Amino acid sequence: MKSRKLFGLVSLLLVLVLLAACTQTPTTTGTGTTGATTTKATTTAGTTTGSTTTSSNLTPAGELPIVKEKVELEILIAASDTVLDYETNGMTKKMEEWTNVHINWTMVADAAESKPLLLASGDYPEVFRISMTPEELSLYGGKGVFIDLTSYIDQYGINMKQMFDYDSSVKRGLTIPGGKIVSLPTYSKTYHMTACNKMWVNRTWLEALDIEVPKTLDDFYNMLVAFKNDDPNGNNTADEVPLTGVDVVSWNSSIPYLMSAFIVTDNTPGRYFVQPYTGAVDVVFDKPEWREGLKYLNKLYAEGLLDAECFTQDSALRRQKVESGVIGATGSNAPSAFAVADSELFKAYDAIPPLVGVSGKQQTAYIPSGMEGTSVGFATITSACENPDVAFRWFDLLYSEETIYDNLFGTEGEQWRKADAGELGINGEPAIWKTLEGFSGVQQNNSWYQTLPTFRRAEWRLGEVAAKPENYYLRAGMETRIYDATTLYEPHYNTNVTPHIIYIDESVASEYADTKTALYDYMYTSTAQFITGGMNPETDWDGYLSELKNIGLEDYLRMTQEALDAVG
Amino acid sequence: MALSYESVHRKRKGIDLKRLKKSWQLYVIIFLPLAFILLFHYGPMYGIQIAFKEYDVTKGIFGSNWVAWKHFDRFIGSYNFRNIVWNTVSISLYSLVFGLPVPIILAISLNECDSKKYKKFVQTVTYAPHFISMVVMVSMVILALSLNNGIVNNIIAALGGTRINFMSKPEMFKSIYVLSGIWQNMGYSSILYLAVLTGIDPTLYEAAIIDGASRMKKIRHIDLPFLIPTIIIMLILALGQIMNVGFEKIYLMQNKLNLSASETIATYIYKIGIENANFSYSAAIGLFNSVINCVLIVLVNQVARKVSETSLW
Repeated sequence: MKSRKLFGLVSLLLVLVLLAACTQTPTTTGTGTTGATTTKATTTAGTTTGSTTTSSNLTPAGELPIVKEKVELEILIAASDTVLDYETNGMTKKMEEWTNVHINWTMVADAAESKPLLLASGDYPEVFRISMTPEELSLYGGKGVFIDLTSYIDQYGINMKQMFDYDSSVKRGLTIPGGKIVSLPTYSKTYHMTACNKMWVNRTWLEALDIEVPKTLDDFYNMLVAFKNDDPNGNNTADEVPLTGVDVVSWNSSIPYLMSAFIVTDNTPGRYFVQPYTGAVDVVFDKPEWREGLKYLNKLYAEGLLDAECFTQDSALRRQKVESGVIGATGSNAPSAFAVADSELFKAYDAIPPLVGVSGKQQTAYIPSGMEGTSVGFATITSACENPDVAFRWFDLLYSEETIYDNLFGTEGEQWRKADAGELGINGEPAIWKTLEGFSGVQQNNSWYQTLPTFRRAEWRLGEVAAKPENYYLRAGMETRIYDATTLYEPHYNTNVTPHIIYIDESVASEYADTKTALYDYMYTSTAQFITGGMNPETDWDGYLSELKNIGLEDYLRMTQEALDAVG
Repeated sequence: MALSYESVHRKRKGIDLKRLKKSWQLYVIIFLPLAFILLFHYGPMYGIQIAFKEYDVTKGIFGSNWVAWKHFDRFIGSYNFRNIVWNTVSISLYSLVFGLPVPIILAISLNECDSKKYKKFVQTVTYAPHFISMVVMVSMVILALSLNNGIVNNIIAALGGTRINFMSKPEMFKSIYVLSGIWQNMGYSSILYLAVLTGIDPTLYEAAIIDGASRMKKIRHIDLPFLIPTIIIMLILALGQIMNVGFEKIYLMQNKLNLSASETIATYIYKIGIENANFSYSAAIGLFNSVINCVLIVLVNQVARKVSETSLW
């Protein structure tokens, strides 16, 4: 009897497991297996064989709807945390009304896994809304898998051309070797990200010790010494750590800010190029100024002013230290990175301007925000698309100012509203818009919230109604706070920087990747060692330089220069 | 039905169909897993050829061009090759040499435990770390070793020593990696050995006691001989994984200061390969690793066969 019961239980369990496996929602891929339909365009009037819809169905450029007779367009997109269901989404319905184009959404669960499979299979969806890397754009764009959009941009790209005018690096970054443009980017210029190397200093400590905001390297040094010796946190123990940071180079490192006083240093990994860009690319980490910077940092470290753990800790550990009230200064882009929102320490830090460098001027790195390597290939139209002109116009519409609120937030009056007269934006100018209570960045169905392309100018972003002044030091007021912090750095920008999207020719791609990785690994390790005393900037510098040569610094520069020149 | 002398001792020439027919159900049961292995493990092996080709997704596996040893040359010629391979192998061997005895000792000790309560307690405490996720575990390790607030340095300072910045020292990286791994996995790994020990006939112990054996003698003459076959199998299997140092933990524990000791094949490929979907290169390196693993496993198996009665095949 007992074994019978057990047998019954086990078989029931097996059946349940099988059932569970069977009722999983099928995830479809571009190979068009089960699940969502992947019907191609079926216009009644107009051709479906050629690569363009006959002009009789297309309305003139700039007009809505885009087509007179309804056209279907397939878009492959990854499931998102923020959007519940693209089929029934508020923005989907609105776009269909406005454009007369019906979207068939093909969902994939995991973009990173599906992408190589889809590209390898040869069975492409009409549109990929999965980000392609510059390498993929160059490779598949060159082969025609992603179609050339240049003619469509000329004919129909009203909003896209405005984007090109606004930021000249966009067209440059989109153009793959050979001169084609094969992708649709998403562009969002975040003003405060243009100065990521900000230094935040504990205001309460400066007040307690009656020190002024440091202006020169020596001032900074003296401030750190005072932090260490004079017990600014008033607890009678010498537990202060004057300066800390995370990693050699990152948005949370203190190195780029200080190094910039010697030679302007970006904090983006792999972008240690000399600024301004004069047409000949060069790196900063083999220059005599870099060496001087290392000596300064080494001095800070040796005297216990720079946290001994700055290269081995992670942000979580740094946050702990900040919250326990022992940190005097740290590099970061915003307080939320190093403190718990709304805590006493969150309120205690102010950003300070760039230091006066060895050149006698203040200098800092300009980080071109807007279109990153990750957003240049945001969407692509493939050779499988029946109506690429319709598809292009549909995407171009998303770059306009009229559709942006519905695209990002939802319905006017429910998720967002236009600003009232008299309300001020983050930048102190009259405000443009504000999100309402009904808007949330998670699991909603009113908008596409950043999962489809947008074109957000810096001024538009800063046109959000600012938080009340009394909330300035709280999380709610942080946007205004980091805006103000960035204005300290802006006057010292040199915006002529080495282009940051670089297409490497396929034939040298592997050599480039190998050399670049080896070079930067060695550079990071050596920099850390120079600062912590493992290597001596006086005696080991020449050995360092010759090792860089050995690894292939000259080849790296040559290949980068060729890639930059190829696009012109 | 009684077995006849012939049916048992019949010399087997070719496939014994009669025996086959008798136990056909067993063959049916084994058919499914076998088909699975053949289909999903042996079948796709034809794809290994991309290690010798320049895989082009638009041309497919068979259409891509042959480049012979190009990828291997690239890997072996890369700047840090020797260092990376050395790191990988030494971390593996280090883990093996120190990681193998500890679970065995733990199992033997637990077996010798008289108090059931204490035994259960120790088991729970040692098994628990296995279930902590890798990310959490590395975070804990970094915190514990932290220079100014970490528990290890606090103890050192209390005993009058100078604080050490453990995570910044390449020479300490491997030890930290191995020791934290032992701490995390020793309980779980000891289960296998404990199972063997609990299966030993208690009369053997009684006989030993009568013969006047001490505790250590009992362990040496009863426990260990029973454990040796299991140990050898585990050793052979572990050596077959020697080139596969896990990616996650190394990547989490790496930082710019200990990179010279912490860069392994997996993390290196991650850094290079993330830029292009470079299937051919990754396949070549995977093949490189697998061949070494295979050669080792065959060698060690041969040695085990000669030296003991236990071997994998």
